[in-house]
Amino acid sequence: MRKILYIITGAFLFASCEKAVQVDPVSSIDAETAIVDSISVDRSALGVYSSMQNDNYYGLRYLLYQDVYSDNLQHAGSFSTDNEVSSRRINPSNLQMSTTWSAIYTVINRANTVIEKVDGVPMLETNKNRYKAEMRFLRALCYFDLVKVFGGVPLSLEATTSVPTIKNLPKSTEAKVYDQIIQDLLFAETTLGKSAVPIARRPNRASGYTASALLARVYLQRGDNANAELKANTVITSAAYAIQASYSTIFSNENTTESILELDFSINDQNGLASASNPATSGQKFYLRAPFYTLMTTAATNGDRRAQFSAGRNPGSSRNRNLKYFRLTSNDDNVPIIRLAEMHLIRAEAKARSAGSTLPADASVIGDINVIRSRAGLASLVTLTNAGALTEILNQRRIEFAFEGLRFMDLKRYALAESLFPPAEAFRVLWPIPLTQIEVSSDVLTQNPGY
Amino acid sequence: MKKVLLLLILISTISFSVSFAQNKTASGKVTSISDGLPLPGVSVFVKGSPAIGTQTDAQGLFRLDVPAGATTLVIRYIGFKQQDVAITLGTINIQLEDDQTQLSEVVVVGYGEQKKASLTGSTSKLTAQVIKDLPVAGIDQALAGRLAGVQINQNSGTPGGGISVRIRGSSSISASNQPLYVIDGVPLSTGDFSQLGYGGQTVNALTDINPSDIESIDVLKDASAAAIYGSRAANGVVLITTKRGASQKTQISFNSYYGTQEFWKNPNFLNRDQYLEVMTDALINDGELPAGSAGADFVDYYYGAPTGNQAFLADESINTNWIKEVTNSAPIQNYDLSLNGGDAKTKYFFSGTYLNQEGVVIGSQYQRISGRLNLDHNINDKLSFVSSLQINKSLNNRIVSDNTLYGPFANSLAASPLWPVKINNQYTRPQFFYSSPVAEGVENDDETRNFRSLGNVTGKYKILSGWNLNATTGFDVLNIDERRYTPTNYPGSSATATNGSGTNAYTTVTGYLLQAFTDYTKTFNEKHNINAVFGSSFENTQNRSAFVTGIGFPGEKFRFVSSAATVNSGSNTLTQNSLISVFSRINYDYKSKYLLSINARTDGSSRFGDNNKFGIFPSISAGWRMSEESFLKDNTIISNLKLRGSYGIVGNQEIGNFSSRGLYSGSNYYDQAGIAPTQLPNPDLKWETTAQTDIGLDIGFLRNRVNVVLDYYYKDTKDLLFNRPIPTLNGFGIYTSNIGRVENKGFEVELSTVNFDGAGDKFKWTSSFNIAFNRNKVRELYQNQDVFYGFGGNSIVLREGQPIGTFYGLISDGVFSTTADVPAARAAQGIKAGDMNYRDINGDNVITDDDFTITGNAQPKFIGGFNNQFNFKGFDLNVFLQYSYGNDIWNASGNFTQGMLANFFDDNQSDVVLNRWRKEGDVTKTPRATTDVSSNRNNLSNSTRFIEDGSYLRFKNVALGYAVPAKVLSKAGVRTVRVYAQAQNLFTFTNYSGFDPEVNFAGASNTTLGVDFYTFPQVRTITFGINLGF
Repeated sequence: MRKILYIITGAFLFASCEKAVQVDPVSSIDAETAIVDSISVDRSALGVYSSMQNDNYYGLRYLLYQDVYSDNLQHAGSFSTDNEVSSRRINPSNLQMSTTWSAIYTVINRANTVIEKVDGVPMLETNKNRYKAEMRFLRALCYFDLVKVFGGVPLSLEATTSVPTIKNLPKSTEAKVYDQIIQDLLFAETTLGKSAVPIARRPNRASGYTASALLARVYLQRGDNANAELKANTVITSAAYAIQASYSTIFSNENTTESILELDFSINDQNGLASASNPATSGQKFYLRAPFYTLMTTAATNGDRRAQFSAGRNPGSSRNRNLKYFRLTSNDDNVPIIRLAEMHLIRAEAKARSAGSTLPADASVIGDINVIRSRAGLASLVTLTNAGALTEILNQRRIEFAFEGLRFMDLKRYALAESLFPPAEAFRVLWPIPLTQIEVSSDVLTQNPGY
Repeated sequence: MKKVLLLLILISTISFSVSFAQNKTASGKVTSISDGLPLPGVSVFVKGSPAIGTQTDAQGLFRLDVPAGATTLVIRYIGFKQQDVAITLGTINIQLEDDQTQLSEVVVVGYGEQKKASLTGSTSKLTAQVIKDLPVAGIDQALAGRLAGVQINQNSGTPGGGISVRIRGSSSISASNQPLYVIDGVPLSTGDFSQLGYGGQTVNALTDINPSDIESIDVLKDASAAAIYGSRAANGVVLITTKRGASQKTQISFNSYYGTQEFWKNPNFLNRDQYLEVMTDALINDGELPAGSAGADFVDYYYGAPTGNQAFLADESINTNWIKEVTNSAPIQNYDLSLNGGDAKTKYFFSGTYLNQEGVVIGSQYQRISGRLNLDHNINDKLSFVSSLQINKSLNNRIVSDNTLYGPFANSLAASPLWPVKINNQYTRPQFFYSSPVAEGVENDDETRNFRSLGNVTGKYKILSGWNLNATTGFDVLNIDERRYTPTNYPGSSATATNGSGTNAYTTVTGYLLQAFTDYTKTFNEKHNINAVFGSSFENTQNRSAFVTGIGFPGEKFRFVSSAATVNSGSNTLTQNSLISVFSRINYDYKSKYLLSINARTDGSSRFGDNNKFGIFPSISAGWRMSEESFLKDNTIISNLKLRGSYGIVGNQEIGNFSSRGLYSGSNYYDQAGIAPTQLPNPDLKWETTAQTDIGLDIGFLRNRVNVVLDYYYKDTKDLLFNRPIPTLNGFGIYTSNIGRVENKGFEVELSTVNFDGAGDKFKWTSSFNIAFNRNKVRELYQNQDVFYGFGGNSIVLREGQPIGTFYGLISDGVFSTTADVPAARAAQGIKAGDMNYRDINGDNVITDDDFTITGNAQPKFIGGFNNQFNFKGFDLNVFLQYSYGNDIWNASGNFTQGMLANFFDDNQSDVVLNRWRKEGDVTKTPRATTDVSSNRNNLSNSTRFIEDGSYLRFKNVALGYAVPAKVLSKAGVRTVRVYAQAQNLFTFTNYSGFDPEVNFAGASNTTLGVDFYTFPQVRTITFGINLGF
């Protein structure tokens, strides 16, 4: 009996060797079978947006660091990584640099993967191109986010899907990165068409006008004022978007018609933004720097309605907190990435920059500024020089887009970023390339000057 | 009570009968049966009265006055079998037979047993006797320091907490370094299956095994011994054998102990006045307060005027010792009842145990109830069954620890003495970033309930004499039910934002084994001994898990998810792996003189790439028992001498179940299901392999009164399962590959001696000492690239040529004593007298990240233990010392506990800061107090300022017992009575200034070693116990 059992057991074991050690996961699927039809293409596109929600990117740190590294926010907490950003002395070894870098490139690789995989899927060619356009828009946004803080970065334009496709790339020049961004955005703009309607879920996904809007921002930052004005104008005159009558509804209602692109969060898909500004919870906090808080309270006293919705204090607390992200229970504050107000200020700024600084500003410049001012509850301006307009635009942007990730970029464009640092440390206008990435590249990647 | 009285009466009766007895004389000569030579120093005593005894003289002669009633003498001599002889008139001639027990001792090996004498591999054994009565929850704790080359680090004082066990060093970087545990032939699921985060410390499923059920533990250290476990043997194998029944009248044993646990060292933190002085000093140094400011000025500056709801800040009577508030003297108790008996056909061992260990830190407790039934039955001469079944249930009340904002112990170190525990019956928040330590311990629910059943049945069929078939089926089912509830009735609770948060998580880990093997033993021509084993097995382990989280609770009386306003998160998943194997072993010896053993195992694992699913693990070993050769056979000094050597290849497959696959996982956006690539495929992924060479020498002197075991080994681990870092511009940071090489080489000595061997119940002293020198070195990493990790991402490094656990950072050369001492280039950066003087490694006159260098390492130069057993009359005393030398500890919390208001953190401080630099000319290692953290880097955590020598010598266990003489008891119907007092961690000698030198905040991590970060320290446990046998 025993013998028979043994033989049976033995036979069973050997016969089924290969099968016995073939076990499949249930929470993941194999890469080869992942993107096969139009449904899985759309799902993988959502996967790209999902990676933008990362805490190291738009979900918290990259977004707020634009204000922390400049003059709006400061860090309070125990993380030396955050503290270095707040004191504007980032060491190359700062791990947050490395995780943010990695988070942004993860979006890029996911986009690259969809761009490549979509070709093998049975779909209409026009639909394939629409997905490619959407992905190239996201890739462009990522590269712009990289270039504005790190300067020239490696341009990864092909998907890494297997060991042989792993790349080790040197930095491209800042100009080349900008060229690629503009090329991608122009493709997205053309392919997605003159429309504010994306493949799905406006304004949480990119449409043709989203590409135009980002082009306006990129051109302006690069100093191509004519094109910046042109693209901003395209978006404004499309009438697809509307300035909200009340500033606060942008944040309290979310997904308003002012939003050109807004990253959606939900209770199932949370971020740490509300908690990072609320002293009621523990953890790393980003509060307003005292001068900025004073500026906000002064603005409020002068009738600026935006201030009270942007900055304040909890009862009994002395912490100057940001109020734009406030959903502490659900942690699902959306992040506005581009909104119509910015287009008005870009159009105004581009035009003001194109003309002599001492000359009176064009009426349309003042008109655009007044769109922002009047919504804020401030008196309309009548006359300004171009230089005065530029100053006014910067001041408006600081309050209008506080904590929306534009401050550091603005200071750079206005050549004010250098003054954030001691004279010998002007090199810090670029963040250090993460040390771990230089090491893992075997020095193919090089450090930014000064570090 | 009645029994005790009876005992007392009996004792007095016996003493009377002794004193009134008449004496007679016994005399004789003792010789050795093998050579007929007289034996000097042999113990001779009256049976039942060990006090009446003597020793033989140089001629082997003895003469002893014995009571008239005495009938039997006991003749005892080490290295010989004990003999009872009748007392007769005239000379009694006694011939003693050589005792080979030391050598005939049986060692458990994979799929069988082997005589120690014929063993060619390196193994260490621990018996029940050694670990009994230790107040430990898990058997791994009991192993600490006992066996050469087995390094046990308890990491923390967490009840039921995970423990690091390293056999001959760490050989792996990304895969596990814990050994394989096999209980009664069935591999055990070990590790941490918790779904909830608890900071640093893990739990270990090994604590489900009741230590008092264990008969012996055999540790297979070299490749020869372990290779039969193939792909899982690289970290050594621990074979646990549980107690089994014997053919005897049922014996009942009852063991119990009760005791208390306390910190063996009290952490020294500042009191109110000291605290205010340091904080004020920082603000004065920074010019925020004028010179001469007092504590009240600090309060005013930092917290605002002490009026209204913070009026207490000015109340000088408040001086809260937060550490005292969260700790207490905690009881530990254990009750253990077992029955052991049977007849020729059926034998059984049955036991039930209850252990209750409260933690010294409030809110922590570990309780376990377990039962075991081991049943053996012979159906007939040919067929027999061996079965084991264990069921146990444990309840672990856990606390969040180490690297956390929500741990009672961690927060108690940070909490400021200015705050009372409560104001108006409401908890305070005594440090801005951390919540109340007391509330974190008292108000939360953190329960883990384990239910585990573990068992196996083996059928054994004797085909022919010496040829058996064995078929085993085994299972190990572990159910874990975890519940967490965090209320909002204290400020800073992690659930403040969500109005209370509750989670319930269920995990079921199921392992099963099917195994069959045949073994054959035969002697040919009385010279050639052969033993062969051949078999196959299939194993599968499944982990099913689910959890649900709810937020928004109506109040802290509602603590289950059913009351949650929103059920906001949940998941359910399954993961599994399988292993299919064929194994074989052939042992051959010629006249028990020349020994040879060959092992091989083939494993196929579901975890590996399509191209490398199967692997072969062979080993060969040989031994030469030189003491059996004619030139040593009659040597009177050397009684045993064996030279042995082995070489083999073993593997490690302890990585994720699906690491070789290219995977897409769920990645959602606007509540729509999305997918995204999350892992790169590596179809070539294979085992990590360790080639190990071992050369050993077993020496016995003076009839094995002194035994020495020496081993030299060299472990070369290559094709490491390594998360190879790739440029993250690829969208992935790593992929699992076989890269890198780690070596461990070392030398081990085990020395066991009988120092005194008094006759009868006279003074006896035996000791065993072990020491192990392991040298760990990372030999190869991907393209020589350093791998940095640890706090800040660059405080610990894996670097070629350096051991695992190498600390990285700045070297501190103390503090600039005077302004003139500060070099100009650094003064220009704002560095002042009293700031840290870091070493300028790259010579550019300033201190940057480029000056980071190796600052220490956590690997000890040597470790070991020293056990001493003393017996006198009915008393027994055991003194066990454990030591570690040459390891560094990084006190990574130093930048908080010695921060001195750095970055405006109002944490309480270690009293080390009382030695800070205060004025020009002060010479100290602790810098000035300042809030500035950017220009001077005074507060940098990873500098040698916070790295200390972690060597220690600790009286790990001291136990004193008294056994009531058997003669007294037998009349009372009691077999044994022993009472004892025991102390664990009684004394510790160390220079480490933290709480405990056996520490690691990262629990049982592979690569983060010896880092202290608010870790719950070990405790001193004093217990009193009783062993009763009926």
